[in-house]
Amino acid sequence: MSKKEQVMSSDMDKKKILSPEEIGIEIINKKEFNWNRKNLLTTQDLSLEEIGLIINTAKSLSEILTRQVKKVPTMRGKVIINLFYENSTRTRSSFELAGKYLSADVTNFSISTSSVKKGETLQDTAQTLIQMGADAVVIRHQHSGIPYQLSQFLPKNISLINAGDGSNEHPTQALLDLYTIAEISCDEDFTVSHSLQSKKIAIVGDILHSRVARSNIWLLKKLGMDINLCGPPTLLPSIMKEFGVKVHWNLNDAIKDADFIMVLRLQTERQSGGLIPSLDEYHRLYGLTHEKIKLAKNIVKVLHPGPMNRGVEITSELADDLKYSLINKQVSNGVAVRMALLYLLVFASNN
Amino acid sequence: MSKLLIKNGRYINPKTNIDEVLDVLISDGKIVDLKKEINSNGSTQIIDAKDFWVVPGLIDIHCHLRDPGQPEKETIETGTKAAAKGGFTSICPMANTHPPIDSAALVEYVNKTNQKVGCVNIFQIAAVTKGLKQEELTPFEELKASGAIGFSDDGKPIENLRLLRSALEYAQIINANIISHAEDSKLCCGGAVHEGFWSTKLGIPGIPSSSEAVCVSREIELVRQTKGKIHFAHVSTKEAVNLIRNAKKEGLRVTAEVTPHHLVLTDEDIQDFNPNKKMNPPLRSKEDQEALFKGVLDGTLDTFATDHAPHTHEEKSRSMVEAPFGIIGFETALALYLEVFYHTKKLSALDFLRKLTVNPATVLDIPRGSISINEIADVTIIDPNHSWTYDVSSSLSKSKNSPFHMRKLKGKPVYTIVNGKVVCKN
Repeated sequence: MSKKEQVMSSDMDKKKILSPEEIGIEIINKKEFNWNRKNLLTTQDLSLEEIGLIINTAKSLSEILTRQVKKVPTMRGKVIINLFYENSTRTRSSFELAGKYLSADVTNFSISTSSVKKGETLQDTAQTLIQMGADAVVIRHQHSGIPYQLSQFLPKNISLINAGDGSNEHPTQALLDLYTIAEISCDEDFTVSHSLQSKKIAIVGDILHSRVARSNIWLLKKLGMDINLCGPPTLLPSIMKEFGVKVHWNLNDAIKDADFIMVLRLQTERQSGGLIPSLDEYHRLYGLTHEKIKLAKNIVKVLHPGPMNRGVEITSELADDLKYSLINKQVSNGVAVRMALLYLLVFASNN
Repeated sequence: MSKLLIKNGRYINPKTNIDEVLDVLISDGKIVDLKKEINSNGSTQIIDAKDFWVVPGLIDIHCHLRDPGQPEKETIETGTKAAAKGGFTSICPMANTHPPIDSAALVEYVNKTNQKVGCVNIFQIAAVTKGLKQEELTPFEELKASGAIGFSDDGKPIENLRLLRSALEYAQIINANIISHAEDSKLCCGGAVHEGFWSTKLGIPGIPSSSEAVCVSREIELVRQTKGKIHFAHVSTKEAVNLIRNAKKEGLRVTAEVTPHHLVLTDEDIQDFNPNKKMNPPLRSKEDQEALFKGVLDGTLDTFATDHAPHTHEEKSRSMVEAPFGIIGFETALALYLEVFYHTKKLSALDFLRKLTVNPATVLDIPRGSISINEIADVTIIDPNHSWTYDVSSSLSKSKNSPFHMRKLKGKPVYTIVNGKVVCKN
């Protein structure tokens, strides 16, 4: 055993008898608010109380990420299965680390579409997850709605977390985006609901195909933010006005006086699909640059869910300019928010 | 042969516009007497149809039996049993089987199999193009002689308009219909549900209304030019209803059908991501639904159909995008149509039944749809007020892909009689 491992194991031994409340997340006042949600499939049905608790829990857990030994025993003996039908190294790793920092056993279950075609149904998959003793399942699928379909086959004691389904939703991304925004805008105690009222955010890019955009729209609307969508009509249908947001085909209108700008990744296949004429033209019209964001507030912050197409939706210079860019923060906040969610959902009271 | 006497029922025959309490005597597969108070003699089987409707056997001009080729979904045996349970005595299966019905031998296969194991009449739709490949026409005359009643590449539109033009011209030799599955495959490409608010909200690729409308429009142009006959299957959009209404006003030989699910459900119902609400054309918007109702009431949409389309549980437990299009419908169609047209008093019993009997018979020239004296005794006896709950696990279809599982329904066929024989009793 190396010295480092020894240190780690003795540290673990010392902490194994501590309850979750004793390891640095005591500021979550679960007594005041009874958390009984087991699944997170969408941001649409989250209450303001729940959002506040997620953000505050993430804040207290984020401290663990700064420790020398990034491990607490909170979820020891709990099994988390990452069920990924679509490759996503970033999101999967983020969940994997979140689980591991909390001492859960995390396993990755990658299912290729071809094996599904061979006949395994969602019901079969659900049965496998149950038999393997999963406490939480994190699901990513290339098509919308699969988490809902799977949830019908899972018992109530297994938590299901949507890690992105088709173009539908990516609720944990939206929550980490909110957390990142809240860090900038909110008071010490993260009373998110008031601090974000009427703050202007522009979400720029391929809204039509973006689950990140949808989950953010539903979530940030609850907090009273002024949501401005922006993109070409082929990627931003005007019917989206009916979501209670503003729709702009002109970037200047969208980002004028904005407090935040969220840039979305442009899939290059949108060009071959005939939805945009060229990446160059896209960059010219919608790519974020230092020059263009002068129209926004001078304290404007830029977010991007990653991975970036540098030079397409955002210039490298802007992405790397820490005066504006929150992109790195989003990554570390992602782990904290997912720790919070795993903790809250798995230990939710069963009433 | 024994006789069957149906007593005290409300005899409704839309073809002759008769709606009154009459007894019906069947002998040798034919209607032999029709009057008030027919007396039975000893050897006659009697059905008391008091409070029931006694009507011409229902006709479904659009269904899929998956036979030959996909017995895991449906066979002629299971499909016709489900049809009989739904009150249908004649059905017209589409040609998109494996292999497709594009030769006389295959039509004969269907008919012979049906004689052996089936329980309702099958009037087969044959393919317009060989192998549904959209390259060459099938032998229309030979197919008709072997028993095919119409021609369709249903499942896909005929994109090659030159070929469709030929089909519309050539079919006139035998005065047959081309049945159109109207969509533009490029516009609908990759779509799974109606393109509109709900597809946008849920992030599911959409099928725009224009996909149906542009196809109906270009095909009406070909009918205008060729003077041929076209029947539009499963009309789903307000734009298509308007185009068909205008074409009819102009006197073009155009007919159209509607399905129960497009009248009962809308795209708002897809929020639960249930693949059993995925069909082609998709569930459309409220406005489209209203236009369909208007189209049925003013006669633009001539007939009701089911578009019964069985798929396995395994296929239908995939995502909205991956699951195949289609739902089963034989056993729920009558009750759903009753729900939206008869129980709401939008249509009288006579006009309601017209859409399920004489109209489909007229559209495809099917020698059924009426039960006057000397006509074939295909009869459905219906209890229009019977309340029941549809449990899809009890379906006689091999597939269970229905969005109407556990739906409360009102109205049920009680007896289905084909050729004077009771083939189903509920």
